[in-house]
Amino acid sequence: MSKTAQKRLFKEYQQLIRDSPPGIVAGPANENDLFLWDCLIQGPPDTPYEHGVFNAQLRFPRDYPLSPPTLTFTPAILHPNIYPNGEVCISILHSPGDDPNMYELAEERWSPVQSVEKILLSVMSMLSEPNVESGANIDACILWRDNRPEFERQVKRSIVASLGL
Amino acid sequence: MNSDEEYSLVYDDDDDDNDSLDFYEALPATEFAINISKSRSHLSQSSEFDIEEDPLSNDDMAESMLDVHVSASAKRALTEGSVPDLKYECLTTEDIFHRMLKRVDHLQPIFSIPHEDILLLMQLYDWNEERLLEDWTEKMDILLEESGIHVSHNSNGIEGNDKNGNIRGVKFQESFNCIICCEEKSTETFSLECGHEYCIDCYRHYIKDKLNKGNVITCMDCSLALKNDDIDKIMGHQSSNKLMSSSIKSFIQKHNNNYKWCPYTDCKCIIHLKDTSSFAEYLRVHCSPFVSCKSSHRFCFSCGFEIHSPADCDITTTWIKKAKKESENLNWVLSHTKECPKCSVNIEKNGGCNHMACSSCKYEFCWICSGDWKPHGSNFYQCTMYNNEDSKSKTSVEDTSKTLKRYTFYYRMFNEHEASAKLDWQLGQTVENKVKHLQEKIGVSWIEGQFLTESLRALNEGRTALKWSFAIAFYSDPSHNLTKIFVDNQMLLSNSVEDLSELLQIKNPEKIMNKKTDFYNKAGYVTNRTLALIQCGRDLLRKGICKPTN
Repeated sequence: MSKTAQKRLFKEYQQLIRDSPPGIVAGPANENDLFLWDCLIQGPPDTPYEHGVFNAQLRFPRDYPLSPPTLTFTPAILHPNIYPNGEVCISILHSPGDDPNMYELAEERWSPVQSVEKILLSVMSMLSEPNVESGANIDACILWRDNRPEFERQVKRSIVASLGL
Repeated sequence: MNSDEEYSLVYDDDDDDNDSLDFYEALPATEFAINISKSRSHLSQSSEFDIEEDPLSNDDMAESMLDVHVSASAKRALTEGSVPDLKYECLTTEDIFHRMLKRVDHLQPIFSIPHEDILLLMQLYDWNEERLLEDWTEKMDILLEESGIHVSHNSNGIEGNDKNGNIRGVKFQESFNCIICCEEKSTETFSLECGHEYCIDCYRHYIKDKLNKGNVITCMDCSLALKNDDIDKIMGHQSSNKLMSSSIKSFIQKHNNNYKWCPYTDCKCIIHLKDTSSFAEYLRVHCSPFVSCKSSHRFCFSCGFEIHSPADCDITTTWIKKAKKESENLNWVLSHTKECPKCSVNIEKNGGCNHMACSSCKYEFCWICSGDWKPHGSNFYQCTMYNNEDSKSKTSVEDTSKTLKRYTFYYRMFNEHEASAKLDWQLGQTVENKVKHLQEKIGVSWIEGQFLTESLRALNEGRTALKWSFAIAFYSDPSHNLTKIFVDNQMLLSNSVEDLSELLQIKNPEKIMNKKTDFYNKAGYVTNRTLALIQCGRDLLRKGICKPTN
């Protein structure tokens, strides 16, 4: 199975080099290990995350593409759907079986036809439209809902800090 | 009624040794029938004495085979509670699956869609017919789309394809580029009506992964569902069975009033109770509906535990809950604390020296010897000689932690008998060998050798009854006369069980054959004592002398 995974990951990497969506750079962290990718994601415009560039790690399981990878922001960023440890919680990274309440639609979930590109695009849209209904970081959820200016101020501050300005 | 056949079989065996059956089949069937009707009208008070009389009335020995049959089952009925026989059957998973298909057949005229589709809907609704029918009448089209039976029209998979042009099934492609494994090869492919086509290898991996989860499997790109037929076609063998087995589980879960899994490890039997109406009657007279599966595992249909008479299900569950809760507490308390020698408060030593001061009565004592601290003075190690007798006599005087002690006592007894039951089980394995030995060495026929197996069965039943009787005893009002009678009964059974157990230890085949009558007498006595104890326990329950309290 891990041979399929390697082949598939290599193919996805090639495709991403050839034509990568704007604001996204991704690739294996080193050439010996295709199962760990580094990604750079640009903050979408007209959001608090604008002008920010965020570093994240994609970790693929051996049975990829049957199981979804995990995505972790390093360092963690303040966002309702990102756990304090940086792990991203969105529906595309979950298998359909993981959600007993059928809260998320099956089409939005992980399936072998999804890809790294689709995941990263979903993350971009997650940055611009947080889903506070199923939050991962409760403090961020509350702040986002009740005190938007403060939320934006904190995000901005961390972006400035991360850029070393 | 598989199990009934089994019982009659067992009893048939000892008919051949009629000469020493006096303890066993003493009462003719009719008398038992009277007993049963008596106890049904709540006059069962006398029943325990009826059993005592059994050995005396043994002039009815010339019973026909038929009579023995009836009396055997009547006897069983008495053990199980003087209530109507339970009508149940033991099923296998295949039987259940056939039943499920029958339900589908039954629903087919209402839905008027193919059987497979209904099966799919039922799977999705965990065999909750009512909810499915409700949703069906309310929003049939949405339901069909959501469940992946019809192609969804609003979500666009790979649009532009003519939907009718896509045929469901396995195809062969000369050159196919699978977007999952990213390989271009000539291979078989599979697609549903949605047209999402992938190579068969990828589909196989995908299905293998999903089969364990037990949900309906859908196309990898949309919510269109794969039917059992498709799965078997892709995998090339009967793989959908695996998916169905999880569906069988939910079917039984849904119908758990009538269907129950056998709780024994690795037993795949399912008991189906045909008539639940007698169930209430069972609970009312504090009997438990004991059933037996094909592998002769006997258990209580109501609470799922082993045979637990004389205790009823209430007592059993409270007892077990308490045992679970208390045993942890108890273990901790016993291993980490000591009682204050003066006021019996349990004290935990959380460090420091051995000079203890009880926080409740301020008594100062030594942790090592539990004696007064004063003589110790600064001389720490004068008390290394642990005086066992002394501390024992001290604790027995205390009565503050009486309830805990009382519980500990009964719990210990319960455990002891459980441990013995396990040893008896090991004994059972050697009995099998002994029977073989008898056959080979002395040429005893198989049927004649069965008295050993029969004795073992009596021993097991006696042990279990004895074990659970301690649960009853714990919850009973100790001052009541009937409780005292119960305790006497316990003792009698306990003695007789030990006697029989000892007898079963004999290894020499000749000796065993010589003692055959002894075996019969002792086993019969144990059986009768067991019945008496069960009856007595039931009376305690019925009169409210024994009540489950927390």
